[in-house]
Amino acid sequence: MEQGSRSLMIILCVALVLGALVVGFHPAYRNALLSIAGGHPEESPIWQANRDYYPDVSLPAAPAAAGAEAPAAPAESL
Amino acid sequence: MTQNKLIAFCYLFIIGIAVAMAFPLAASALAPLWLLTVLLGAASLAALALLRKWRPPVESESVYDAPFRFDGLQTGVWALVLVTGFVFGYTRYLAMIQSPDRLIAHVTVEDGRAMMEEPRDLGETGFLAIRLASRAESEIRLRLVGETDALLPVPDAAGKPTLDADGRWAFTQTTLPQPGNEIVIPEGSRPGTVVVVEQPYTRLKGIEVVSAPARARFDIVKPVNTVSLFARHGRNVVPVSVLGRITADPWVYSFKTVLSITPAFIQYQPDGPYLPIDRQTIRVTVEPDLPGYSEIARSAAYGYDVAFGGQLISPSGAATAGSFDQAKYLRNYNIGGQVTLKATQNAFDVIVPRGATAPREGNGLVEFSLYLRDEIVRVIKQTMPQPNSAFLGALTLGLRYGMQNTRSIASGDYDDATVAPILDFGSGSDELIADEFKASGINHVLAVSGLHVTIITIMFMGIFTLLKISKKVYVPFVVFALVVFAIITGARPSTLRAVIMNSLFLLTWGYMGQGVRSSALLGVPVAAFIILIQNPAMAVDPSFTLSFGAILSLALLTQPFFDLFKKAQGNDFIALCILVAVLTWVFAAHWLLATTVRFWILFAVLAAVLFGLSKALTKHGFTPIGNYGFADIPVGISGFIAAQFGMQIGMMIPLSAYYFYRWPVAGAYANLLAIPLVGVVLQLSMLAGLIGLIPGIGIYIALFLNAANWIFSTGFLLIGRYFSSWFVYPFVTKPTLAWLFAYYACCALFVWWRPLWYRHARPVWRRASASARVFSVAALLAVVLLAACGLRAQKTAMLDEGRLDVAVLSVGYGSGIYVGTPDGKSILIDTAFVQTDRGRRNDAERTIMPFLCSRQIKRLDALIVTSGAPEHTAGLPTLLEYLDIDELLYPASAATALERPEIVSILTERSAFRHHLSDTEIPRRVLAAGERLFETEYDGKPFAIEVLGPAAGDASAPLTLRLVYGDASLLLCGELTFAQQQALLDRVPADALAADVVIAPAHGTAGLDEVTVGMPNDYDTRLATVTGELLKRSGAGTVIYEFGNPRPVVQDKYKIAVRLHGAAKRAAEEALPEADILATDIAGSITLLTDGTAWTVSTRFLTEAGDTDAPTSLEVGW
Repeated sequence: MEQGSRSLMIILCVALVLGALVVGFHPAYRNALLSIAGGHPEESPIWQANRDYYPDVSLPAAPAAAGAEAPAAPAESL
Repeated sequence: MTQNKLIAFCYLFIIGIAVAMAFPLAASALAPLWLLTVLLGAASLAALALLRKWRPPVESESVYDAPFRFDGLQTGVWALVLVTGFVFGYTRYLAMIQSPDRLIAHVTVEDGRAMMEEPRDLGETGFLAIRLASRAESEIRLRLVGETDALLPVPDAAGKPTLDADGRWAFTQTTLPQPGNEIVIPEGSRPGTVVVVEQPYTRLKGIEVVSAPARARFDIVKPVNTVSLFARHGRNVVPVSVLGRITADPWVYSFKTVLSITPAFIQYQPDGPYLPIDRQTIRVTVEPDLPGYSEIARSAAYGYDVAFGGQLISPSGAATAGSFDQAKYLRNYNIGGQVTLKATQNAFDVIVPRGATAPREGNGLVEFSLYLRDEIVRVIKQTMPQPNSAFLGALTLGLRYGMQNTRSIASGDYDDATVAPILDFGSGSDELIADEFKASGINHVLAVSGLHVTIITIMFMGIFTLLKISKKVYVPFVVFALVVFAIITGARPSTLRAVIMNSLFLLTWGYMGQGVRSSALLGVPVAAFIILIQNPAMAVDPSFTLSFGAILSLALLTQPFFDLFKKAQGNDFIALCILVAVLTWVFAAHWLLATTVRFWILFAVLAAVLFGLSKALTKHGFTPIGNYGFADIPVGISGFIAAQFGMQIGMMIPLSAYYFYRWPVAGAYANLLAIPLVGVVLQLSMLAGLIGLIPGIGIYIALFLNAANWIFSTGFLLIGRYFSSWFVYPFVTKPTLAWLFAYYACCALFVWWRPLWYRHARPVWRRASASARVFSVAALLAVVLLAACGLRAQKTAMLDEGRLDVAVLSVGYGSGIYVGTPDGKSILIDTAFVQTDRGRRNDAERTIMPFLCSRQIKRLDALIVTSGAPEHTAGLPTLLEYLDIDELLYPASAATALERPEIVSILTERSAFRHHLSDTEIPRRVLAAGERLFETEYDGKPFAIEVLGPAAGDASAPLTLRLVYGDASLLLCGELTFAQQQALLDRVPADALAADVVIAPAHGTAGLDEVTVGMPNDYDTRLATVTGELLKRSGAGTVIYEFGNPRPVVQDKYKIAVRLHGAAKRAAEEALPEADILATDIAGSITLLTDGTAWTVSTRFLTEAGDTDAPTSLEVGW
């Protein structure tokens, strides 16, 4: 188990350093970070790239993704 | 020993299920079998308790040299436990497949009067059935008289059904007399014949006999109200209304949502009563244009009560032998019917219980798991761009349907994407990621299985160890996390197996101090038992079999292979590496060579030479790498290689061939990279998903982790991309069950030869006399020889020598006909259509190749293309790539179609030197009228394929062929237009067109090219004077239309194509009133067999619909 936890720590540390480099140098990730920090995650290019991927999963404060209707009131006819 | 007995009990339980699948007893055997199971179970427990008292367990290691001693008590208890497991497995499966019809009354008819004993209580309202107890000497007509407690929903103000405050459907009940319609049992019906009375009864009062033989006996029984009882085949089915509940998480695609609904009540006809349903679920596909779609296209819809109406369709079986059997697949998942809901045709309501403000929710743990899954999806959507996000969703959460249409990272789809791939990988690929994964043998990472669960277990254990928490404290938390993970990922058999096994391991490791190996050997059968006791049909489901095959291969074969490979040292190790390199080259560059016997002989010679050379060089002191060998490779890598080898031999090669007719040869290499990488990608993805749930800082850490994972996951996608392009994904012949048995017997010998030899065989061998030794060796050789002969005979029997075997395959609106000649030659005529848009249906790949593989055919004597039209030639590249074809024959009109770049590329490649080596070049030849192909004679009956058209010099007409064997003949008209049909009639003498069977021209849509708007006024006349005349000229007893959904082929003209096809069938009926008119869209594949006298025609669906597996046949010869 000691070995497993050490591997996990190594993976985590390497990933964080590599991730910082990607976020620093790749415009899409940089803009994603700025959008989230600015309180507009829906403007993140990464979020927009996933527009059609599970459109039912939306951001908490945002309306449902394009193409999906707003939830109907319960028990109303579908 | 008790643990061994538990393991053996579980395996015998599985064997019991397998035997029940092969030889099921009638439903009436269920009650005694359950009683026997209980008695045996009680006896086994008592025997185990007594054994424990009289023979206390002794700590002993199995020693190979320890002689075997017979212990009567132990043997008796072993036998009892094994029999109990077997009977339990058999009974459990029988209970699942045999809905025991409940006997209501015995009836005897004498002299027109029915004498019925006092009928038993029906219990709940439902259909009844009549089961004959004696042969019907003449037609029986009768009525069942009774009453029905008709249930009709209590409507709300809007007219929708309602639920009471406790969540029960509210009904009004009215008792109505049920006079019953007349039931007709045909004369000659045999005992056991069942006639279902599709009218509801709650009480049976009596029977009115209208007409009957002097004496007849039958039983009135009540079938269980299953969904399949109400599902119907066909296109125009009377819609049913359903009151039920969504009992699984909705599968949300970008273009539809699929719901699993457990019905409580079904109204099987408009205005009829609602009947309670006891078994099976309905798969409901909802199209996005249905109003209120968004309310059900989400995880929160799990648990909702719903009311809807629609056509309840029975899933279809495999239209062609070897192709996908949807009915069987859905039956294994307890699905009895399917409904598709469209905005224009259907109503769908979510119902809220009285007094509540929201619909009911489902199981709390499942709700929590689905909530967690949605939250992790939200994190993925914010931190990982497409297509990597789809891959992570599938890998981490089992959301495979989210990447159903996701194209390769090297496709043009991402040229204009919001976030382009991290590097430009080109846009030359048109493949789906899922297909690339399949072809490269790494698709298993998308089936959440032991690999995932083990990685997650290790991850959680690592986290808790970092936090310095005792294993006795954290083990229950990890087990809980695994259960949640199983629910999130859909609780498929592979996931359940892994979760049960890992949980057992954690519990025994955490609290009993047991090791991994003993835990695995116990965990595998126990997990299988737990899964199969819930659904025994899973025993033959690929997801179950492959999952257990994988873990057993790892557990049992890794060490023997490691032991074998580690013997390779020094020069032997170099020889081994050279052999592996040669094999890799052949697999990658020239798969067809690997399928020839000559290659394996050469390979064996090469191996002998290399190892001989190695010995000689070593003897002379030339050892460039010293004693370095497989055992000196770091154990992590060498063990992993041995495990991969074990996995390929134990699972992939036999089971992939058995289930999918394919073996992803690239997998043996790609997994060496993919499996270590998936450990990183999965852990990072899971950590990012969980950390991302932490409010505030969480999403930022998740963004950084997934930014790194973007690189790793891209690496994984590239493994799929490049390995699928470097290696072929070959088709392989399907092994028979006997072959599989022999194969696994060899594997078992390889694994257990030491204990078998040292403990059992050697002591006997040493004691035996010389003559006994000779006799035993001779007996062993005889057994091996007999087994080999049996396998060979099985293969020969498939060839059916002496008979002409024609199979008109069901390939939609395309053509694909297999011909097996009397002298054993295999010929394929036409290659079907390939749909490249969203449907992506390649019938050459999904129908023709599996059909050939199921018949153990990997080489064609000829491939004949009758026309250049895409429904005849589109599958050509697929077949040229995967099959060894001796000759390609075509008419002049198809020459242009063969100039397509992908075909030219394959044909050019097949002219290369290495194909001379393997004799797999493809010579081509243009055919013209007057030629006779494959002429032969069998038992005095001549066989030939006559080419009737096109006439020499005609570069526009398709091939018209006539197969003649003895007195039997078949005319294949191909893609003839009206003008070409007329030309054929004018040119060919009448007797040359005579045929017992005609495969009608142009799918029955001749003239479609000329149609612009609507059906031409003179169409029926042209049909009668041209096609009708051609059919009359043939005088056929059977006319076959190759037909299916024409939309992918003829695009906007599909509606008119269907009408023309209908008109053509009517014209055929008028031209040949006595003939049987068959079409592959309704009948499925059609098989025609003749011994040179008469044809026997059998159709796939008529066969499937029968009570037995015997084909429905009709004689059409004279």
